Amino acid sequence: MASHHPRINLPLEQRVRLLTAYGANRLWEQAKAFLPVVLYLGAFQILVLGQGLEETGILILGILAAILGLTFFMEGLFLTFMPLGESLGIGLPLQWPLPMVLGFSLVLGAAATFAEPAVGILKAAGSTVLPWEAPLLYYVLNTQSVYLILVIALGVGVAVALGMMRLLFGWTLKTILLILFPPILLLTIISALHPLLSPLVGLAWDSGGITTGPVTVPLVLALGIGVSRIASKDEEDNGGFGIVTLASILPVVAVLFLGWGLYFFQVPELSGPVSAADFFAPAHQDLSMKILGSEENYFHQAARAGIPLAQAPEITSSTQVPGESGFSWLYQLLFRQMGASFQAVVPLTLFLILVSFLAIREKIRFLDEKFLGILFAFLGMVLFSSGIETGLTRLGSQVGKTLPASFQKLEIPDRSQVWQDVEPDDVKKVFDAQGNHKPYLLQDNKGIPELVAFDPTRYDEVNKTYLHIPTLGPLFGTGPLGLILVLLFGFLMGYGATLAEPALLAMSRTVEDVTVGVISRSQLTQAVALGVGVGIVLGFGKILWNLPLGLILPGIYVVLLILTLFSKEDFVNIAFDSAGVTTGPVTVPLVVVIGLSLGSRVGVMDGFGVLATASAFPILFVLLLGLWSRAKAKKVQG
Amino acid sequence: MNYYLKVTLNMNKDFSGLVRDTLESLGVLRFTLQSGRMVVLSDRRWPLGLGGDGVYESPLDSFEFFIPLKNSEPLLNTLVALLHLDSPGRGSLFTEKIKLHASDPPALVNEPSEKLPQKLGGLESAHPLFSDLLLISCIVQRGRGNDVAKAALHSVAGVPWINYGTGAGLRERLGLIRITIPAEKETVNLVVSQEEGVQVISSLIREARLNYPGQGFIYACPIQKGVINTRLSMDRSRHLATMEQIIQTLDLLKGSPTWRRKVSSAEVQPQLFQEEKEPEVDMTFYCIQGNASRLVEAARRAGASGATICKIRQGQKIIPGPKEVMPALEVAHLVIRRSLEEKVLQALETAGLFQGDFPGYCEVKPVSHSFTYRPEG
Repeated sequence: MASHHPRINLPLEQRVRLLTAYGANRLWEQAKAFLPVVLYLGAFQILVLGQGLEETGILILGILAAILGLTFFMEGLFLTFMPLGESLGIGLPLQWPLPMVLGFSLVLGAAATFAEPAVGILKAAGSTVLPWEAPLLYYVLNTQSVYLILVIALGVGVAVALGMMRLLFGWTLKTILLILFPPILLLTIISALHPLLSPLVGLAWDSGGITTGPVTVPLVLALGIGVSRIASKDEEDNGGFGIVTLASILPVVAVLFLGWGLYFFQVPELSGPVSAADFFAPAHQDLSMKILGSEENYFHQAARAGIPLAQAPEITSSTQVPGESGFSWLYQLLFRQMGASFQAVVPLTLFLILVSFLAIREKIRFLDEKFLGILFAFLGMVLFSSGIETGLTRLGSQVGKTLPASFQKLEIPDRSQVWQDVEPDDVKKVFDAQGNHKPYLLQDNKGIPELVAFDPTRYDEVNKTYLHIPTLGPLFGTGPLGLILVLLFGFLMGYGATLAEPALLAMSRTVEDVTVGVISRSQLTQAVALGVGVGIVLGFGKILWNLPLGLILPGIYVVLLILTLFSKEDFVNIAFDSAGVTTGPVTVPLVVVIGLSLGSRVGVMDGFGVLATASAFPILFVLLLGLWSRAKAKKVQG
Repeated sequence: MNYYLKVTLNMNKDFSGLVRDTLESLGVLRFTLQSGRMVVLSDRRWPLGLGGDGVYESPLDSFEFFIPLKNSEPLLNTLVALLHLDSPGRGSLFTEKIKLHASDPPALVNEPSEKLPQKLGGLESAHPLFSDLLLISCIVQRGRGNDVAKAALHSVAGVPWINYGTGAGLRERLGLIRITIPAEKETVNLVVSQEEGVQVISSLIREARLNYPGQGFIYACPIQKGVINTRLSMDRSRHLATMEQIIQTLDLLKGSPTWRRKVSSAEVQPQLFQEEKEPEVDMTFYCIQGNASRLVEAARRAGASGATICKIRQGQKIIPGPKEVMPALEVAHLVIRRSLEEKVLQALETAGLFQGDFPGYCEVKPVSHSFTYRPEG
């Protein structure tokens, strides 16, 4: 091909100029998407919580890496993944019989799920789950996690195949949603009312949103666009969206079914949450061993619960302190991210290129560009995920640690001091109105003596030392102000993080393309980001007040389905797809780290559910955007 | 020989189903479909900047199909009446005389049904189709379309509509550095009366800064007959008849929209552009998606300068078969010197445009005006 058109070689100076203009333009574009959430988190920590930032050097380095990575990753998507997806969508149904197309879709969906391991995120969100409080959730998430991955992958695979069929046969998403949702919501409610299954509801709905990652979503979107361009029955003109929706819904069913299946066939003798003492009682040892998977874990968990076991082996202190010396952590991080990114990007692309060669048998033009795109996507993902981990998540966890101080008293162990020469006489009695008294010590606060509560367990009588752990808060009193502030924080964090989600950036660009600019990129991202903000507020509410998620989610979706009835097909497609793209690599770690921190303060056992509510509200806002724009259109058409 | 009428029908996407059914009932089964957006002025402000920059945009579908030259009036009049194109804001319809090149041109042409509806349900207002119109297409970088559209709206010429496309030309021969040059374009289309054509083109050239390098390209082709949309603004009317309806009536009475010119052409803007010395043609070819850039390269080797490629869809209702699918199409617009016409056609044919399971085709029509930046000398 190259021989046909002689190449033009630009002078070096011109190349450099083109390259700088292009690079600066793209970097600025992604910086605009990414910086708001970073600046917001930083400002919140410093100005509202009154805390300093730690490790600012690493934070800034991480944030710069994330922006650079996002830039490369998006270019890779636009150069390679999306064109490849679209050309497959156009070519495959023409060349292959339907069963083969569906088989390909199934494999693609499942492979994409394996490539982007979302289960790691789910495990992180469930890392604080106590096996005696939610035995079935613990069992599914840890002991049987292989099945969890398998059913989620199967769910996504079936979803992609169903989505392709829908586009080819012109079924409206509205119909599918109205058929699928009632049984799913019913299943959710039934599960929510069951003491063992109810902790699983959050996991199931979260897994729906998480599985569709930054590589899968753009690929599947482009595939759908391609198919819709050739489908002769596409009269409703859905624009090719909707596959992501199905890929978010079906895993919910899959996980709930897995939960019920394991309950009935593996651990039917489970009765419900028990106390730790009961759980480790000798009578229940077999069952508990089964839940925990291994003898080693059994003893480990027992030690965690503080239950002395007769036959417990000597627990060797195996908690290794991570070697934070020098830059070895950085190498480890990069090495780990390179492996994960390679797994997410390379096999999937090679598979797609192979299928294009086999099925379409046409030379891919500009193959050099395609390989550059793969390289960009890989490089971008390494930098992006490393940057998120060292920059954003670290920043998020610093804020998360101090956030509860806005409504309650919080100890800050990082700033503990050891006071010498503390005599027993130094402890003062302080009386309250009832005549009760508590012990206090005096602390010098910039020249003014201040009372601090004395904790006898931290006093070493022999060495006369006292370990003082400073406390913070409640910064905004014990009234509702502190809680309102936490919710407001959640809203702004969700809003800002969503603006930087790569899958949403790809989706909004696709929507702008398909609608020839009628729905602009910013309109869609704004509507989705507002939705995520509101959803996170509700999710934090769930954590703070332990709201019954299994009943709230069906309620929200009933409202959404009613709105769907009144909306136009194209907006229904875009709205429900937005739900799948919102929860990605920027939002999820922040939500998990801050959600868990809030949860542990108020005694909630897991951070599940926030992502599910964060996915639901974008649908609402995009549907409202559609209804609003239709109201405007009525005026123009007279 | 091989001269036909190409009909373009633009309507809001909400009416696409209606248009399909209407076309089918009139015997028009073979058509292509391109998505676009229509832009009108709006003074309204909405919260959060959602109202846009003083314009209101709505989705639009452009239906295009070929019919024989002879006896086209009944079909067009029926379409105007059935789709209410005579009421402002509904849409527009126009025809161009084109030369069709294909392996079997008549197969691409619709034979409208002989028995057009006799009664149009009291709607037989017999809206005359205007003649002496001009289709202006202005190609700019993606993102600048609305500015150009606003200039068109302010010149009170008509309602523009915008399509997305990608530029193909020199960029493809640059090696990997090409990815740094954005290829995304927007095409702003507008139908105006021939008399005001030069005026409007000049104002668009100014707005789009086409007299600077790398900004874009504008050209115009004569239109045979057409009904144009006159609803320039979305703001609510407070009168019994809208201003657009009054304008439409006056257009009808006067027999052409020329009376609407705001100033006499003698005193307005200097003509910003020189007519091309050599006559040009618009060569538009249709092919399966994925092939256009290769074919444009072949045309370039034969002397064409570059092209704008847009994705379109084949209208259904044809080619019965077991498959539920139709190939996706691409359409490429090239403006070339008439003297090159044969050579470029030959090159496209050699490159296989007219072959394959779904052979492509090519239409040629004269270009009356065109302008782009040309370096001095």
